[in-house]
Amino acid sequence: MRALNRKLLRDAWKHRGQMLSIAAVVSVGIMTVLTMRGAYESLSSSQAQYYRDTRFPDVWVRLERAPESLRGRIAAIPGVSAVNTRVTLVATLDVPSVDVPALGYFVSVTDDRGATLSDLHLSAGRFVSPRRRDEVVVSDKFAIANAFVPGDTLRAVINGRQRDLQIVGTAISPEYTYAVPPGAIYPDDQRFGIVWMHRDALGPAYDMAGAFNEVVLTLSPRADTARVVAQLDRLLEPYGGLGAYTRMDQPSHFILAGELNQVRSMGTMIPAVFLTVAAFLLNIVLGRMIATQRTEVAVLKAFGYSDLEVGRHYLQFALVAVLLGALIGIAMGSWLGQSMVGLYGEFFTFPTLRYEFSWILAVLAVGVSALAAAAGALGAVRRAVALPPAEAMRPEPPTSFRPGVFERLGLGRLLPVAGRLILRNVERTPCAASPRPSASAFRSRSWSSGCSCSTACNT
Amino acid sequence: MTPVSESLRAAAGTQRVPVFRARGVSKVYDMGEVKVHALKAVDLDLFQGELLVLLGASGSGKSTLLNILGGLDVPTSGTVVYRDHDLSAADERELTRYRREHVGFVFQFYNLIPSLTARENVELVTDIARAPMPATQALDLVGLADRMDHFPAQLSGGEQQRVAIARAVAKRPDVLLCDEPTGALDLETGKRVLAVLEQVNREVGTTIAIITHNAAIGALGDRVIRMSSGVIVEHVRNERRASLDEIQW
Repeated sequence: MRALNRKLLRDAWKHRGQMLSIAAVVSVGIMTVLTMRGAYESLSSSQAQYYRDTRFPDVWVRLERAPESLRGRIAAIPGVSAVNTRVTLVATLDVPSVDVPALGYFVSVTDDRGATLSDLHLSAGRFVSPRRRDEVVVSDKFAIANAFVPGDTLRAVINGRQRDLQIVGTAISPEYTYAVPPGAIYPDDQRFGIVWMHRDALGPAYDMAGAFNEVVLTLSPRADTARVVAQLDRLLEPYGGLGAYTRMDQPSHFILAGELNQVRSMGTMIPAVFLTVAAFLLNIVLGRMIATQRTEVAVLKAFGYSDLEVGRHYLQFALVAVLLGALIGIAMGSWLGQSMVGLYGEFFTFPTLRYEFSWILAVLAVGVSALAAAAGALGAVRRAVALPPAEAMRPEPPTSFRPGVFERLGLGRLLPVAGRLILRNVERTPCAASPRPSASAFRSRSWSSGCSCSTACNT
Repeated sequence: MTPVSESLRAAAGTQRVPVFRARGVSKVYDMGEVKVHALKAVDLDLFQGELLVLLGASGSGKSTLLNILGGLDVPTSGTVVYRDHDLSAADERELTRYRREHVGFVFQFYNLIPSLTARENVELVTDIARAPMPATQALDLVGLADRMDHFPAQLSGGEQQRVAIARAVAKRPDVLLCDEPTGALDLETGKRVLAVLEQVNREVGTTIAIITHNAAIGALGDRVIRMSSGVIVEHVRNERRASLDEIQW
């Protein structure tokens, strides 16, 4: 190992307190990137995969009632790729484990699952049989919250008639990744669930045989969404259409997209704050270190080390802090990222949701941290490099002081020497002195060496 | 050419080619409100294998002259040529290469890196030198073979200065510039340090310039130059170099 690198390691060890403090700040920045951005990447990739696999619709519209024959006209709207009509309704459920009536959002399903938009992902049991009018599949979280398993019976009041329904399976749907009861903002899995029932059973039960009251559709890649929505609204207006809406207004997607945006923002903002603090600290610490190593800088230069080599040596202090912070940050970020994604899994249901550690993200986070640290260190390093060796060899000249306004007015004599010392320091560096003028007298020694104050001001 | 430089040439002997030629070297420090004339049109030749002693009181300009010869500083006016290198016209990169390849420095206060052992302090220089001697050999040369793994804080002042000399000579410099090498040492320790410098000059053939305000040390050199107020006021060529046993201060 080169002697200069040994110096680096020993100096870093000597300043281990400061180095660890900076590394801790850097590690929080990197940890936040890996936790937040990692969670964002995991969630958004799971979401994209889920939407793709289950053919998540682009447009929804509810209406009073329309004949099934209208389906062809909807499909004929330019830009529409696939259309599903269905029957949906809210019904009261009698859940034994809940004192008050629960609500079930009933959604019709058909056998042609290959063409179904928002296809179900079965977690347990099986799909409903077209030959059985009392079979249902219930949402996973509702089943878990109420300890329902396939084979249990669920009593519901549909269109004023009480019916005993056989639970044959539990499932999740991309439309209910985040399922909230009507009018609520938080999920209530015990008192609200999604119930999927065969169209042939649910239609007649709700007087919707041969009719539908909801349409979902996907659009072709270059479709004009606004135009499709307008045409759809015009077409369904006579049938009590309540206005088509796109993914951005679909409740579950809206909540999930909002959360993803928030996680992404936090994954950018929080690291930025911590890395700025780290850069500031590095500027201060390195500025002080270089001020104390003034003659060492001179010696290195005298023996032929170039400005680049001297600058690189001191920049490596910043990189040591970043490296240390990176090790802690990557370990912590990976662990917290898994925990965070696990936490999201409790609120959002995906068929597969797991934290995937991204080396690209880690390298990027460490790279940005290194750049921030280098930026923070650069000012201090530049001062070291700019010092001519002959000048650096001499003791630092005394800091320039002049009588301030107070003294020029002849009032200085009214103060004791210590008071004049405070006043001159405050007048010389008002920027650094202003937050805590009373402390300035006690810091005068370090100020007069011209390091901490000027560094703080410059920074 | 000033009368002083003529006498210098006569004192040095005209048949030899100088390794350093300084002509009309001036240095002015602009201190804002005042200008300090540290050197005033100084002429100086320094010859291969010579041991030159620069005498003078504080502020006489001898350190400034040494810094300019060593490429640590540049003159305000005049020319300084080292062999075929015009130091007065060199940029920072050329001066760095010049210092790296040709010059060794010994400072009054040793200026060792406190976080490195004696051996590592020497390696700091040998790491970047073209054909250095091993650090252990350099330390052996100054009699510190058994102290090479000690940190500066574990060494006496004399030992630290010998480490500094080992560090300076390890790269086999063409010229060794010593600024008050005994200034912080007692008589006996100072003599040991001077003995090492004399040995390096004699055995390795390194050209050495020693700054001191101790007139007694002048007897050790081939030539003695006395400076005052930024000018050379006296040149003396010693008929023979005195031995260390002959000098006292």
